[in-house]
Amino acid sequence: MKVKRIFLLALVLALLCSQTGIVLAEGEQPSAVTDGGDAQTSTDAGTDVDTDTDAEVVVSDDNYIAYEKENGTSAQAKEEVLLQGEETTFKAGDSLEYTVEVPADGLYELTLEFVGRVTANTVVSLQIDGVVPFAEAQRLQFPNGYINKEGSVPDARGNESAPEQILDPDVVVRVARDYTGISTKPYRFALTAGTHTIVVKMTQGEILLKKAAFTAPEVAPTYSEVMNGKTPTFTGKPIVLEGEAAVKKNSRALIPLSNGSSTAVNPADPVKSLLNYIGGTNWQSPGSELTWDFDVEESGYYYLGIQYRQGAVIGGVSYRHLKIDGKTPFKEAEELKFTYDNAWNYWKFQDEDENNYWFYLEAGKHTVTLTVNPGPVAQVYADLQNVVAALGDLYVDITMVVGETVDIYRSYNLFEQIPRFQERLLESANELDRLTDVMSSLQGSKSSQAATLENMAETLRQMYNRPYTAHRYKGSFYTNYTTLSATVMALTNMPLDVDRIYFMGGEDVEAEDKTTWYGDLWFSVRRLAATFSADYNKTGSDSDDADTLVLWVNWGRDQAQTLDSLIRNEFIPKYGIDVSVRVTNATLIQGMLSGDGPDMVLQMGRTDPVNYAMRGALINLEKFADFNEWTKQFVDGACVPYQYRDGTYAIPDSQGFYVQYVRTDLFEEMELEIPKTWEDFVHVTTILQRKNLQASLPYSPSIDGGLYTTLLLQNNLDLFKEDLSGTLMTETPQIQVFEKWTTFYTKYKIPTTMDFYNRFRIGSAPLGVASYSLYNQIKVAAPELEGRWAIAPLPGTLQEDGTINNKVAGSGTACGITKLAKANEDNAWTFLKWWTSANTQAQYSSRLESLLGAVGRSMVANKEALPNLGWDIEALKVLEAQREQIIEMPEVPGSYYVSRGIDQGFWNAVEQSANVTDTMLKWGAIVDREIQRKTDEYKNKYFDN
Amino acid sequence: MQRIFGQKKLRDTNENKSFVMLMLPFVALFFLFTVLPVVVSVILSFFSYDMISTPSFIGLDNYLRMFTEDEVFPKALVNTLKFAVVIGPCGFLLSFVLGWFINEFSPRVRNFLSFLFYAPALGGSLVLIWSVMFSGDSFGYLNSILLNTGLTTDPIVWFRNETYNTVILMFIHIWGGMGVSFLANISGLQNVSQELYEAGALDGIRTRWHELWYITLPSMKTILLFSAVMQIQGSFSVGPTITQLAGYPSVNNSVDTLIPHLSDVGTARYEMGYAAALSVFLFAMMALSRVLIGKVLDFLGK
Repeated sequence: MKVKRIFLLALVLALLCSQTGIVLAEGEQPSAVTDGGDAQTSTDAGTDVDTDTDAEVVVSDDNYIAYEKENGTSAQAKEEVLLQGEETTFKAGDSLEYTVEVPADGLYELTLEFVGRVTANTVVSLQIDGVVPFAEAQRLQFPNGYINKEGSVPDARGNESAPEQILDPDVVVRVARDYTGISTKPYRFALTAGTHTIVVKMTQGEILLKKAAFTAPEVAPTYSEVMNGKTPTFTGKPIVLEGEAAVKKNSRALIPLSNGSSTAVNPADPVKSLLNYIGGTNWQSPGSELTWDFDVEESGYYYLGIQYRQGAVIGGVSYRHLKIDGKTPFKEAEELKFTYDNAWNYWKFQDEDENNYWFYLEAGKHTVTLTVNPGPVAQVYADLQNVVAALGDLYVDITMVVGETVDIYRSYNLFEQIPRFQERLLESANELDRLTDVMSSLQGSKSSQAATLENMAETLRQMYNRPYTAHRYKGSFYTNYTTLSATVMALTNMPLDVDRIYFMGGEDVEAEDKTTWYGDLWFSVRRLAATFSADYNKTGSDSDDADTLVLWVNWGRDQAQTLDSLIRNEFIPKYGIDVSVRVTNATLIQGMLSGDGPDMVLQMGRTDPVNYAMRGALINLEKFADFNEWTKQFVDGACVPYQYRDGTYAIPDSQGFYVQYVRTDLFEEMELEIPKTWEDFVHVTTILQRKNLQASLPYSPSIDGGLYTTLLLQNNLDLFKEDLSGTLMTETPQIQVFEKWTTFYTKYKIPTTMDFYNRFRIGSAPLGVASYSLYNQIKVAAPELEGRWAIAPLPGTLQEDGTINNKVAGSGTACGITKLAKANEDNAWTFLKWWTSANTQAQYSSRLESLLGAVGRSMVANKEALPNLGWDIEALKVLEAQREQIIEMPEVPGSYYVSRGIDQGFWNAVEQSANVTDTMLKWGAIVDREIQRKTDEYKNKYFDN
Repeated sequence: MQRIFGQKKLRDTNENKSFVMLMLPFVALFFLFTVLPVVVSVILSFFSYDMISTPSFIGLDNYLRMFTEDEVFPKALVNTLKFAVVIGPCGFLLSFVLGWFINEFSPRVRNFLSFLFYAPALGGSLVLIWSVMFSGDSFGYLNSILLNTGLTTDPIVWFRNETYNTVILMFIHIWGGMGVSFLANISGLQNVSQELYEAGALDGIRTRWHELWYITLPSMKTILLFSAVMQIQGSFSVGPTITQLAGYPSVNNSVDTLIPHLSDVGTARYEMGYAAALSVFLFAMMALSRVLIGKVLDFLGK
């Protein structure tokens, strides 16, 4: 009993403590009264943005599914309508206009024949008589063709690495289709007989267009129609195609892969890594396509077998569309079905009664094409997308009533505040239930994906059943929604590994790929033995030759291997300088200490170059004759952070900066304008907050890339004294800017930490500032937002002359040469130049993107590399404009203390409501003392590097 | 070690060869990785060394700087002592009392409870659990509870607030550090001979307090010493968890202790000599505390 009483007493005490603490905190912080006065006046500044020339174009609100429903009953077209027969160069920004005579009413497909010129895929928008027929027609994708580059060299240990994917020099034929998975067939455009004006406008990419036409949709007969009662038999020799030998692909990501853990894959080697299959998760998005070449010696009937594995999506089924010589042989070939199994299996193309499907192949050259086809999942996916969109709208509505955090004791009466609240809950819940059933029947068992749907439906039901307390479920609504939208994203992912494809006549080759237990055992033993001898940390050559340049990287394996393969295939053959790449966790300091360090370092953190330089570890790059010429490829002043005394000790290899992210759909709805100045930003924030939505401003105390530095720059102020002997943090104008910065978080209550990506996606934070690298993530991972969001330059500061200062503090990494390379410094410089060149940077980024997906795209520092990375033309415009405004901050000995001073000042002001001037005076002095101490320490140390 | 290598035993070396051989691997490793680094850091503490250029001898400058120039050092020292004084004895007492308490249960319940209390020491994800619990946004558990119950209106960034961070971090350390000495205490309690209690009862012990004071504690002296040393010494070297949760430097250095301070001096400022001096100071402090603990426990047994 006593124990219990003490426990209760402690609990009461704890509660009391927290409450008094809270009272204090509230008393000290400025209340959230919005400063409407001066904010309102400034929003009128600059209303008319660059008005587009084709503003009068009508874009249909319907998506393709709705369009298809409306027009699906029309007859399919029989004849082709030629738009363009002559060769022409067509690039982003260009428009082609045609007036064509359509012979008969019908559904047409849009086909382009072209040769890709740049790695960015072609995206066009299509208008028929001034109308974009459905929303997706604004962004019709025509992927480039890719082939393996010849002459890929295995490394010194015989390990093969994937060849580079280069643009197909031949003409590729592409039909406009959906690449998200809502539809299995190409888009079909309904055209009436008569004259029509067609405008094709390119928004991304560059191609040599050979032909454009509205074509008649392909109609495949059924198998029984093709065979017409014949019973084929044939006893020809089997034809074997290696999966990794695929010759044509429509994505750079479709590289040959290596699996060394099973004897079931051909070829198998326990020690070396050999390229032995293709596919995996690189080959999972709808529309992604592989083509193999093969020769048939003997005409006759063949049937198809595939050695495959589908282990990436648990319980999932992958579908493929088979074409032979570019044509669907019969209807059944549209949906080849591969079920889940984590082991390699042998699959035969058979009907339900296990009878083989036969193809007649003439002697001669043929191609076989497999395309990812969402199959029956497409319908589920399309329906789920609608549910997700509806739930997103509902969440924004709820948030507008109850706010970001719910007061569970309040009665919000959501059913009165939100139109059709209960109907909407029930509709979505029922739809989710229906889709759960459909999915379960497709996959044969209840997968984890189905469980996500059920959880969401459960929450919706709870809200429906308890209308007066529905707001209490907002938290679980949000978590379920984020899981659900991630699930929906992955739903049409249909990965498949292909080891071999067989065309067989009489004999079945099934036995050929059968593995035996003793074979597997022996393979495993050899694999184990190999782990003792192979050094996986070195990718390059073994030679300890003094002339070999040693490069240390502590990157992930994918990054290191990509770099290594670039070096072996591009750098070494071209310059004849040997480079050995080592993956290590050790820092440069440890390398220098042991005397066995690297000759060059890449992607050093912002503060490293100066820290190493003042201790004599790096070489002054300015001594190379072409230094000034070379650094012109970077933004002006990009080398400033890497300068110490009179030298420059590193050159940038990546550079990042902030841009603004805006949910244009919500902005339109609320009639808001994209902020141009910080006053606008605050104004919009207060309006959003009135609707219980939020804006995001990332908190970072860094000098590089931090918002405080950016604000200083926009007010034409410096952070450091001109002679770099200390900071100006304690000066009045600087403190005023600091105060302005902290008011975003105090007066305007912008959260200091926020999961911006998810909040932006669901819509509860429709405005925010973030690094431009987030663009790619949203683009790829949130397809439902397509066309509903945009990036814009960072808000600026209004100057006295009425212009807006948009300066931004840059951040990034750099590469340099260590003093250990002294004998080889010219070679090392050649390497650095090669690495920072636009071509290498673009290649590295695109290869990494093909391995890692959108996150692999690097933030290149080389100005010319940026346009080659596949950005949308609209996004690129914003990025290039913002990049012009970058100012880099210098680094000084002891400057790590500056960000600490900023950090201390910030939290004292924001979390403890301290007086900003007092804190800044105190911490500014401490910072200056540290800089002084470090400067004095190295005052008399000079190194002849 | 004195006894093995000392003068007196040297002639017995031949007879004790097998023992020496058995100890050799440990002694060699202990010397290489514990004794040698201590000696090296003592030497290094008289040098200025930035890890790249050659060290230069500067005499006692590092020590002078510690007590006269370094603004963070006094704060870090006070914080370290604060943590040591609270976490060490609190954790020690708590783990003993808990052990004593749990020892009264039947073996099955005891095993279950022991596991429950030892679990924090097993889970390496101390930081993860608590960073979610005290996350500064409105989705952190504590913030979420406080906001939901209406006790606060805005999320509190717990670790960035001087009012809360010390208490929270002390609690986390007591919770996380209890496991080992708690287990030691339980096994110590079980090793006390039942005969002693019987004899005590016959000799006139009347209450459980008497039993604890006259029988249990004296019989457990070595275990108590072990557990106290583990707890208190451990509490001098708190730091990494604090840095991960509250960052370094924390707001106004409110929870910075010596370990993060010296690793910051070494890695961010490249001042290995000064970092070595700080570590020598910490070493001396810990040695001193070891002597004090021994004294206190000696008193306990009398």
